[in-house]
Amino acid sequence: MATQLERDKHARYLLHCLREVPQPYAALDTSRLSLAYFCVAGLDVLAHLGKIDAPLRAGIVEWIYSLQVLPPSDGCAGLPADRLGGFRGSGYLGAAHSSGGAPSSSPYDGAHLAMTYTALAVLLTLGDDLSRVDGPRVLAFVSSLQDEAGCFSAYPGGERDMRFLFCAAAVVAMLRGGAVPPSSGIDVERATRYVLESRGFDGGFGLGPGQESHGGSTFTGLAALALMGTLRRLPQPQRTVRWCVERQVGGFQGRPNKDEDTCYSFWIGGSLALLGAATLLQRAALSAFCLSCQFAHPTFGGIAKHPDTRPDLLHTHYALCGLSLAGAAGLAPLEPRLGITARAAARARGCEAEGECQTCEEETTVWDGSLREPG
Amino acid sequence: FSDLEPLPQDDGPVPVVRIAYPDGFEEVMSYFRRVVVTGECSQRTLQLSAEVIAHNAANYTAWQYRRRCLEAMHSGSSNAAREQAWREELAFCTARGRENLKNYQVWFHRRSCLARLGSGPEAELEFVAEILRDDSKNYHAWGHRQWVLSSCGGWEGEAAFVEGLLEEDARNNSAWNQRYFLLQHTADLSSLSVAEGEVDFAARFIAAAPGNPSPWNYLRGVVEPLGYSAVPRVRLLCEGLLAGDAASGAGRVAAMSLLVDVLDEGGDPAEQERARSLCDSLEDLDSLREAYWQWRRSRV
Repeated sequence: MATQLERDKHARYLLHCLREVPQPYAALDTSRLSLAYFCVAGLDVLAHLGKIDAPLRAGIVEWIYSLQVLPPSDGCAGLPADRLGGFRGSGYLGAAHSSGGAPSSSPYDGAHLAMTYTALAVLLTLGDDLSRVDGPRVLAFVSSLQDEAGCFSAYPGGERDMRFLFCAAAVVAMLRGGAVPPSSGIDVERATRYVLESRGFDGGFGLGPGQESHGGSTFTGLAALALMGTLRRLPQPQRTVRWCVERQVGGFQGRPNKDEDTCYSFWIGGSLALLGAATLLQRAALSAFCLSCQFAHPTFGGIAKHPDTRPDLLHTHYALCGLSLAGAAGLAPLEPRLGITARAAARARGCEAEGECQTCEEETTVWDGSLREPG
Repeated sequence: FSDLEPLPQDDGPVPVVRIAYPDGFEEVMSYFRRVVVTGECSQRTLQLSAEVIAHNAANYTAWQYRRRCLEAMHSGSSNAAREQAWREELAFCTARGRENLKNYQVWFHRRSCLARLGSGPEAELEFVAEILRDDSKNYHAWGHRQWVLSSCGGWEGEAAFVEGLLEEDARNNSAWNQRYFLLQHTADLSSLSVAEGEVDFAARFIAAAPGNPSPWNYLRGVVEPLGYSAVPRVRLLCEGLLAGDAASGAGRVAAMSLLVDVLDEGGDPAEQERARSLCDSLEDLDSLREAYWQWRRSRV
């Protein structure tokens, strides 16, 4: 069992995957952008972003922009105008690689909300200024996906749940200076109500009203509230704090009576951070569990879900995020609301470096840290 | 498909996270890309989308295209023929679903089929029950079950179904959640007698395994909104467990943890002093949450 964080090996693993990933990832063919996000954002948490050489860096940025959905050249692809904008997850539907964005090749070749989130997250992480993102179209796309209940779907007519509500808030925030402004095109009031209605009897949050509380949906719900500036409206936040701290069994489990799993290091560790309660997670135990899930290989690292299983990109990235929250040496601090480093998030606010932006610190700690009930 | 020109994927000059596709994947996708561009909706494109799904069930466009194909192919059909087509589609979805139980797209497609068929809940609740027999905490299956109940009904058998699962495995937290969901829709949670009944229900499982967090969470969830003083049996349960030697380790921690909230609720100084002293003990007993108990103590 490794007791040290194998930073260089993890960087090598992520860099390797940034070029090519093995067969099992074929299941992520339509959401390849998320793989790029895990690699790039993970390298940033490792403070090893510099290992992506300049040509590859430029190549990633160009590839992402080529996934931006533009109106079809003949104007007859059948998609309503407000649904053109945002990013696809890959060129799996045959759009031609094209600088700055590719016209929709069919009514099906449109953007996906989660892929739009990961596109912006990677661009910010790589230092891009988002100047080639068609902001108004992206915002129109996002607001077209909100339903009566306040939730968001992944794409027009697609599945709806808390994951996409978070992505909507994060996309708007990244385009509008780091937080969701009052008139952004999304209905903050309804979205807030949806999140609050999805809170379970135990203080955690489900993917929708009535569903079982779960680490992933608890994080996405809280982060969405934080981005929308409505986290203070959460009644009895200490009930959510208790649900979160009770999930720690060493590492974190995603639900009561389930096994610990490295990705919840971020989902639940991040939830505690959003609640201003990061100090309540037991850092040593969390670190020990994440480190025990490092892949033992002479060259390549990577972190698995459980000890003694194969590593994968999602668990590597979120375990690194968890380790960062646990204060592991050498890792970059996070902006938990956006799932990227604080350095990358500062770029969304138009700051070159974290230090330049005095307001960042205040905004990040949405709560005052004392965990008193608001109001 | 010899009349169609395959459309390759264009990754540009610097491919990023290129996938080492398994054999056949790219060929099928190249034809699928072409078909989606031409918009052809026919038996053969329906079959092609099935091939795409066989390679990658998470391809949401393939599922979306199937729905489009079926609608287009049956726009002029009789109601009976259309219903038959969607029934076959549901069977296809069932077969793929069994291989992909944690796939969002399959469950979403299933809802689309059911919404078009408009049949009663019985068969669908039985399908979910069968999935849960093998994977009793499957989040998708439970979410689907809630959707079926909410949109088609079938509540009358739910209490027995959930209780059966809990008798089998009292640590099935999903089943506890379902019991609460059921109550929300079929009972008055503000009623004292309902709450007392649920406390007794949870207490039976706590007695059998005091360290199981699920019934504790359930009990708290039911009583917290009413206030602990309104349901004195909660305090009796905690005190009883702590007085005896039935509960050790996690069970003691759970009873003490709830008792802290019970004692703190009324604002009585003596009771609050005891709550603080329980927090002190919990710092040792539940040392992983030492910082939490210090914080909780400071809030009493």
